[in-house]
Amino acid sequence: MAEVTISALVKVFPNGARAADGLDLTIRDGEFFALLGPSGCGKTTLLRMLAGLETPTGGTITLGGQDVTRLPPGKRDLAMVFQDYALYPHMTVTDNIAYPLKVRKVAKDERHAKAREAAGSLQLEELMERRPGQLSGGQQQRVALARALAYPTELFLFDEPLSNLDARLRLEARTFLKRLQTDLGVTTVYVTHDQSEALALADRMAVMDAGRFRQVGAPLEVYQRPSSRFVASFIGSVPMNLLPATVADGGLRVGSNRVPVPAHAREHVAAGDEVVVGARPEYAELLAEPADDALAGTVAVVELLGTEYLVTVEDGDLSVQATAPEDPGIGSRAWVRLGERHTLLYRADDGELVDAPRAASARDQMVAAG
Amino acid sequence: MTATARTGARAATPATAARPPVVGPLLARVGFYVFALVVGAFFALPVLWLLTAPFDADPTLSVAVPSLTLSNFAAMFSNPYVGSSLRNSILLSLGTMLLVVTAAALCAYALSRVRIPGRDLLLYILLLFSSVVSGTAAMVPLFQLINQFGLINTHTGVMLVLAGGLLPAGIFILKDFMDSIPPSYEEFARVAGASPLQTLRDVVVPVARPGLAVVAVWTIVNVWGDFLIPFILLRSPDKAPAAVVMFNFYTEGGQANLRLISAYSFLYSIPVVVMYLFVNRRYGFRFYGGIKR
Amino acid sequence: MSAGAGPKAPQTPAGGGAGGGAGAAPASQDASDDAPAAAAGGQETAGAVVLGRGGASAFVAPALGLVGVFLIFPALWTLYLGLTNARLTGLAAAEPQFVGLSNFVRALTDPLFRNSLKVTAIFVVGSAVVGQTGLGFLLAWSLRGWRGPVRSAIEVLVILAWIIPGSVVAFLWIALLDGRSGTLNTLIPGDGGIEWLLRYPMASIIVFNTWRGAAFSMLLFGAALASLPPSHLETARLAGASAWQQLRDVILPSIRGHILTALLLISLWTFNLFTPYLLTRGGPNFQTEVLPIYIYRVAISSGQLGYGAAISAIMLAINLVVALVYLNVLKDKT
Repeated sequence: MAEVTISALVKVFPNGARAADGLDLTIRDGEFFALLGPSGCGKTTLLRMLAGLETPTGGTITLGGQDVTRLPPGKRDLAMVFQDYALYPHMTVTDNIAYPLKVRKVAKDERHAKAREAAGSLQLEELMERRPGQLSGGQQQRVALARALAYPTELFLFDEPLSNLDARLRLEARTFLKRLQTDLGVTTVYVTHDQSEALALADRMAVMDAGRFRQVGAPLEVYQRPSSRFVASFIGSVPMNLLPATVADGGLRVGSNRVPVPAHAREHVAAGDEVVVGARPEYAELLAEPADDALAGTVAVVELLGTEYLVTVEDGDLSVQATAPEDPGIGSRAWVRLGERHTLLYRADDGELVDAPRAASARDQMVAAG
Repeated sequence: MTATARTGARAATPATAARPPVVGPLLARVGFYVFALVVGAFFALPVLWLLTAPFDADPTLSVAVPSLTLSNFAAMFSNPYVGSSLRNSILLSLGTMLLVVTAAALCAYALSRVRIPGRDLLLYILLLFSSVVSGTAAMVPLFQLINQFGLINTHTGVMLVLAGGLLPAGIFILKDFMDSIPPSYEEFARVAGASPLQTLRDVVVPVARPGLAVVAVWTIVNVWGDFLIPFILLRSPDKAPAAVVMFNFYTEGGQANLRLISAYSFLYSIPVVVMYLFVNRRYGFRFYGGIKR
Repeated sequence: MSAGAGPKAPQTPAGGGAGGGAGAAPASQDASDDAPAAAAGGQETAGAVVLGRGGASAFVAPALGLVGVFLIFPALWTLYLGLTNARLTGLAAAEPQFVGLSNFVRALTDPLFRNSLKVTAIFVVGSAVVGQTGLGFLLAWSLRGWRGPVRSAIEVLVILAWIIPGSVVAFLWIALLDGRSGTLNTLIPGDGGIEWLLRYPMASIIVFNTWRGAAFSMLLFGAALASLPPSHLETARLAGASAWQQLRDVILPSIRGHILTALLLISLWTFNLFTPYLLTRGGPNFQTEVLPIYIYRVAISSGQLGYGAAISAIMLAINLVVALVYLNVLKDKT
């Protein structure tokens, strides 16, 4: 088990792309940490630097207090599961799982026993003599997992391990993975572009963009208080409402409607400020009657989500989504109350959350850190 | 035959009125068989002799039903050059194959995995020169070069020249192959603690084995049949490979010994046909145009 | 997968059977999801995990050494040798003199060289352009859509002609065409046997080489035709196009690149082919003395290395032009 620290980590590729732009982060011992971001944000590069598969251009990485920045991958005592699983087609399942032990010069009988043990916890006993080509995608994924479990490690690295599975299998594997990590308590870094995976699995997570962390925190915190418009638009199965607004008369003018300024932002805005109102449809309330502080419009689209409906209400250019237990019927008049407690304000110019005086905004902190 | 033709016609008629009805498919079928007969005869005629004469107690130059015997093969080995030439062919083929497979595999792997400066230019130059420089066009400088190295009339000289000529294509075939191997294979091995050498031995070589086999067979087939290079670089008849000895057998003065020539041709041709069948069966006939030069 | 596209290998012009043997790799999605960064670094630096730059150089060195010494250097040396009076034996063998362009001047005035050029042109056009490319296409086109033993038998025969060693097939044709007891003459009624190789030497080697090499273009065109989407032809057929119209309007335009590839490669190979020597040794009376045989005769047999090198240089220049056109075609195609 080990704590992972990275400081001032920089990676510049020969073509000039900055995949890591001065990253600082501490991943606690035993923590399940997710790296989330769109394609090309640098999350995989960061993971590969932790593994030792890429050499940082600058900065340091420590693992359990030891500086491993220049250490070759095999000396770092970590296990990695690749997106394509990297199972060897010429080896049986047993030999695949036992390969890291073979490299460690463990005797044949012992490593086969360890392989069986690891495979047993993943219901692979029946498949031990097969080759990867004879396995289904889900079975291959479990073999890759067993291979990472079969030898003692300080750190698990996962590179989108579920992305090649179909949707149903992915959910099952996700639950399994969470249970496994909780049981083993091994520090885990998990790269994904699927925000629901990050929210579901992680103890803490980092949202990355263009080689920088945009927000680091517990999943619930990131979900409820995205620190920027970028994070807000990235997190959530149903996209957050992001409505342009102007501060006026102690309230917010959204289209032709007026809503109150959220309490936490009240001190930090002044009349005339251009902002964006962020509100999750799950926290918004759909009303059939006119109400104070609600946005009025006409129901344009109704989508069944399962237990509730996602309703799109439109008024001119303005379009707001809210969840509702009942289908209000397309074309009916409706009012949406955003729910002040969960409503956030972002500055229109830089997209940062309005929750502090401008001078000390989150963005400036980031710049200072970089 | 008639039944299939009729069902074919019936199926076609309602679908496309514009096509010539009924006679179309039948005519096409007859036309195809006539064409197949003519082409088949054209391609079979020269080869037939190779199948009949070796087993004929008294072969002539024309194809005839043989009076079956295997005595030609037994008698053949009394000629001293039969044994030595086949040994030489085997030696040259295997030696060149080892050179080509080893050098091409190392080079292809490095080119596939590591960004060597000027790699694309290098590949272009390889491609260009391998197309431009043929054994015939470069026979003069090759002859001079081998002369200067003191390698004239040695198998080493022949192997080096042949390897130089075959390598570019071998590199391209293998680089294509290496490119199709996911780099995560090696990355996992390294993360698991394998040394670079272990990674190559345990992972890269086994996974690349089909590609290596294709290049190996391809090299052997090419060297086995090559005539010009050993013809100009080797002097002593006892060093000549089968390609050259075969030529000597039918161009040397006097009456051609057809019993010897037929049996020898047959024996000399068998290995490449077998290897072709092996590659075809094992890997499917992957189409590498450069397979013959 | 390969990031830096680079020039495409000539070994896989068909595109069809290309792509190496991914047979071994399992469901490997494009691992470089982390797009722009990994596209530059991912696979490239991945190998560094095993090799590193120094190791890579060591891996590349043996192959490049062999190719450099035995392929590239000879080509360049030819240019120099062509400017000397180097000989195989005698005084000029020990210390060749620089003679400028006189070898080239001599070539231009040598009627046998000009004869050889003409013979080579006829041989290439006849056996490569018309013979191999034409027959190969005809074979691929007629066999397309047929299954079963007839097709397999023809394919085996055509490929057999391609893979049997050259000195064996040369003798098979000598036997076939023999004036007294050759199979061809026994098939033709009448008792006056024709010495085909003496009466029609050029036609003989053209037919021989067509027979010998049709397999390559058959396979290449076969792969090209197989890769055509069936919907293209079905559309044409539904529109009422005849077989000839389909060929002209749909098929030929879509495999134009393959045709050009086949023409250039086969012409290049045929131009450099030494095999006619095994049949006729350039005779009778130089009627089949193609350039490779001419070079062999003047340089190796008569020992005039300098003059032979000058002819080789001319040959290399012609090869270079064809190869550059070919590489351009490849680049346009990819």
